[in-house]
Amino acid sequence: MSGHWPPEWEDPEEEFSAEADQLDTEAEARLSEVAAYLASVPVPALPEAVESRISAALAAEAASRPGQAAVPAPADSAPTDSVPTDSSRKLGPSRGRAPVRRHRRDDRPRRDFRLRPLTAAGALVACLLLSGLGYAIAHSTTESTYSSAPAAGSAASNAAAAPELGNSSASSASSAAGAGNSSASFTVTASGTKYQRAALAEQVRAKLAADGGRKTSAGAVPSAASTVAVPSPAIRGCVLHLTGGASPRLVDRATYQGEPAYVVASSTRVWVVGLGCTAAKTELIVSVALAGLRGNLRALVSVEQ
Amino acid sequence: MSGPAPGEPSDAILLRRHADGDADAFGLLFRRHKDRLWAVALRIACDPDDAADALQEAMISAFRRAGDFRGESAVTTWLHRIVVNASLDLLRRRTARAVAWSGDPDDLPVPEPRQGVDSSASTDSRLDVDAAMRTLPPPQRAALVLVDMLGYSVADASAILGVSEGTVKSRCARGRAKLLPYLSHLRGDYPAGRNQPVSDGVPSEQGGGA
Repeated sequence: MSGHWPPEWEDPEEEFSAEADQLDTEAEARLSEVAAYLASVPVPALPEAVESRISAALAAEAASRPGQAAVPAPADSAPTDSVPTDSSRKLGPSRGRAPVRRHRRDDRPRRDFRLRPLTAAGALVACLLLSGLGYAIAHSTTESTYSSAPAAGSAASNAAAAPELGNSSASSASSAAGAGNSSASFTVTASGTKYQRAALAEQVRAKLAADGGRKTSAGAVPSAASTVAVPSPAIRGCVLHLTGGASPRLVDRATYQGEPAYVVASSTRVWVVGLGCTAAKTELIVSVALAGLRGNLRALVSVEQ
Repeated sequence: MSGPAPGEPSDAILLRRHADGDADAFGLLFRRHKDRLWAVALRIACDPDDAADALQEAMISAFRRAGDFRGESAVTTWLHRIVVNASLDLLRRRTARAVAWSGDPDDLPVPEPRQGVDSSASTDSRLDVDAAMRTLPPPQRAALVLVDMLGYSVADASAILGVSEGTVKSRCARGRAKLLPYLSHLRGDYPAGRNQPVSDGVPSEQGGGA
């Protein structure tokens, strides 16, 4: 796991693990006190707000489950959920290490192969339905409105205005299928704002306040000077994943710390994600609270600076 | 966090039910382990907002990949590993964008102190620990969180972190050494009890230690 860490996280002396067993008695006693102290620190309880947020995200995930349950993500796109393969032990400090067993269970059909044809058919049907819906909505709205639909087709029609937003792929199709279960609609602006770490929340608050008077029925708040586009299925899935299925107040393609990024804001939080953000891999760069004590403190700090 | 009540299904059964389409199974699994998983994310990320993001990403990932779980480790090991990786991944992405490292360990960026926290204030030792943990490189922090703060054995931490037991020992030893100056004023100011790990929802009989 350490192979993909930044170099600054690596400890050049870490390889000499034998040193850990060669500490003198006094030093070992002092370090044991540190260990004992750390062991006494109580385990924090998960805050209710966080639990609610995650439960909502899981509920949204469950709602979109039939369309993507058996679409295995590429191994390199989901590095966090690989199963340890070097151990068959159960947790428990007093037991010895069991031998590695990597049986293939050839006596039973593999779940992913069983469901793959069904999934492909489901994804195809979902794409057709969403494309049809997007086509219908695109032709029922005037060009002066900012409202959007969760449609791959309409996203493609806007690709000329913002080509990077209309980039579709297998993964984005999967995201579209999932996002399509949410009724949330929004647009993506390209304001060109140069967001900075120190003033992120303040910049977003100011942008929301400035655009408040122009808030559209779709819920997003495009600035008059912004380029507006319908979100691609990938970014739509990304945004709804972040917000737990709710409509965002702002989705802005801009720069953060000088690098291209999407800035997504709900009523209470701001997320900055990479341009390749999808529901499966958000490429989260930073997220900060937009409201509440923490946000106010940050705002105060930025004002004082 | 609590283990399964008498008559409740084990973690492995819940995960299998989820993979088979049970809409409630994963939620129950999450609620069963939420506090310990939160503790892992919070201690590694050192920021409640980052921890919340990491935990949410981890749970979504686990939700989606439950069908890939082959039962070669305990469900708790699998879940902890996902949370650890999500937390480190979040920090890694941020670090990669934030700094260009000179190679000198003294030049490593030290996270800004949490607002309102004075690390010299001995009146709130928990905050001292939080501030001290932030000074550690994330891999050392993760090892100390699992072994010292949550009571997992070195072997279990090795499985969760995906590194050798020797590496876990080394990280723990170096992490403790770095924490010593920050926590020396708290000597003896702690209760005797240790946090206990769990195995498939059941607390283990003893903690670990490097």
